[in-house]
Amino acid sequence: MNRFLRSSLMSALLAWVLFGIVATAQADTRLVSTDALATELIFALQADQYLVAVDVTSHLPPNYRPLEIVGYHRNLSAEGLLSLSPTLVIGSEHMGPAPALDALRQAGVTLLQLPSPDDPQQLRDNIQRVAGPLGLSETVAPLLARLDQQLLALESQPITGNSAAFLLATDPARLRLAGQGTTGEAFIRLTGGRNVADFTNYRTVSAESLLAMDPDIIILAGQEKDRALDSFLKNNPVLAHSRAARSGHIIAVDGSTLVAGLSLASIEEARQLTLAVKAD
Amino acid sequence: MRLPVMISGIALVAMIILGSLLSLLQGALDLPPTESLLALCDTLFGTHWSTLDDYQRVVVTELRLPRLLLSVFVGAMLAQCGAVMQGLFRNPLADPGIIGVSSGAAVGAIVAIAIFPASIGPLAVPVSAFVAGLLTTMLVYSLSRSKQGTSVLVLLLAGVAISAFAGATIGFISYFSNDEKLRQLSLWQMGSLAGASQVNLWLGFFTVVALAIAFQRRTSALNALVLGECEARYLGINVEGLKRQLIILVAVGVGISVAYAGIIGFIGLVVPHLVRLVTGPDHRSLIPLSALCGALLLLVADLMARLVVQPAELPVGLVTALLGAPFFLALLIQQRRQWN
Repeated sequence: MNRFLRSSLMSALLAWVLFGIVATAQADTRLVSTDALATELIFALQADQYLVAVDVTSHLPPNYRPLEIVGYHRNLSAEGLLSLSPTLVIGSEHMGPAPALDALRQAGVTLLQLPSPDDPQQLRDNIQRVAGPLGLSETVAPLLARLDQQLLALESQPITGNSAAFLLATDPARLRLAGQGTTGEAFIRLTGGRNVADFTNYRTVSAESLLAMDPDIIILAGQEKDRALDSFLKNNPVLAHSRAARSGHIIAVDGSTLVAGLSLASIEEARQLTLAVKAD
Repeated sequence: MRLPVMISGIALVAMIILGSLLSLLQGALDLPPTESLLALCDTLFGTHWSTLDDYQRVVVTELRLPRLLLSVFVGAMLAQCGAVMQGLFRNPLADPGIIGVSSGAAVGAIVAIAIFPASIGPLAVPVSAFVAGLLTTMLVYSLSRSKQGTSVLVLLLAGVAISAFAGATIGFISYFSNDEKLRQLSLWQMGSLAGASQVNLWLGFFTVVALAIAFQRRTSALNALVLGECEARYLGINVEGLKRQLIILVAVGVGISVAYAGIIGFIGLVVPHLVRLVTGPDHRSLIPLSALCGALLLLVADLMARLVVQPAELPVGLVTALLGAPFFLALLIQQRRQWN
């Protein structure tokens, strides 16, 4: 009993001291995220209490405490950011303009620019790069474990051999098809599928050429997942005769999870997609 | 409501000084005004009066001051060029873009953004925009020349056609470029003074002074041109030479403005009208007052762009029109009422 009491006292003391060290290290952390992916990772790492501001592309949970909005991540205002007195600014490689970043560096603010991940390994690297300067050693391991679990679930159900077309469904009347090197293609690769498009970047294609490409799966990335399929077929009735439509393989995913590269949420979207294809 | 030129000039200068002070002292970062001014003195005269932190000094001397100066230079250049173009074309709808310099510069910028490798460095976009703007103007000008001299009508139409062609080129290149570059391009087209700390402000200063002197020497000729080309020729003015010189000067002025700040609309078109409504159409006063008024408008627009949505900021090209158009309409309606 005595030993148990002493050991629990010791561990409580140790925990308290550790907590104190971490707390003092982080008490004056003021974090600004200028990128949707960085914001997602900060929330996933449970470091959102340090957030003072986010950019316009970031998604916050509903009814979250009001944060300052620093505008669009390519068009940041140096003085605006400095007025928030941040200690750490996390964003993508595309944040700018350069003079604003120079001013931040001159003011002694740490800048962390994450590459847009197009495979799960880069996503893992990004998680570790965010966790490092924030001292989040306790939350990073469970998050990585959860990511591995999701990836494992995804890899156990690959849709290998299927060809897929990834369409941006923001404007249903125009078919914006994802080519090589896009996040859309990264998403297809995540599911194990193969991209039907052989060009680079996004291009508008006609319904006819999409029929000719004859993908097994058509992925619609839009904002409204529930209505995407209806409005897609209404605007492109000819595609109701495609193989993907006949086999029920036109599948909507949440496009906001893919805005700036692969995110944690897009891995979940990919898993749901493989499940939906496998189900029949 | 005609105002004497002297009073208008003094009022504009006073407002520019006031606006400059506001622009130096206001911003997202709340700094004590006297300390900010002392920090400015420290930088200019090497004194050590200010107690601001280093990063706060940077905000005043390397963010706010260069933006303020650049907005004054660019605003003055665009408005002068607009006044000159309206005088040269004897057309109230002429703006500096009409000779193709803005659209050419936009093509140059998108080529630099979308095609050049990023390793060339930050100067690629402004230099490419400037060169393409100048080349486009030369093309438009040479199209309008014939044995009978330069036809203003052909110049105008060639400008419109070349602008349309440039628009199609931009569309074509953007169709084949990726999302990142598209976003960069659309921001560039909205105009911004945020790059002020990285540009050579002396070049801007010398250009604006040189343009003002060069235009001022040709104001009497522009006044004579209002009567018509033949009449101006009979008055002993070398109309062909005048056209060529003015087009080159405007192309250089607008080219440098565009290279510095992207596309900033409205100032070149409306500021000269504004000045004409208040002080009359004499080019001797119109051009310098346009310069002052353009500088003031861009200065205030940039101040608003920085303050309205802080900690973010708006592209200044959006604010100039938002701010200037209602003011111009109000003035126009008031003038019409007086004429009736």
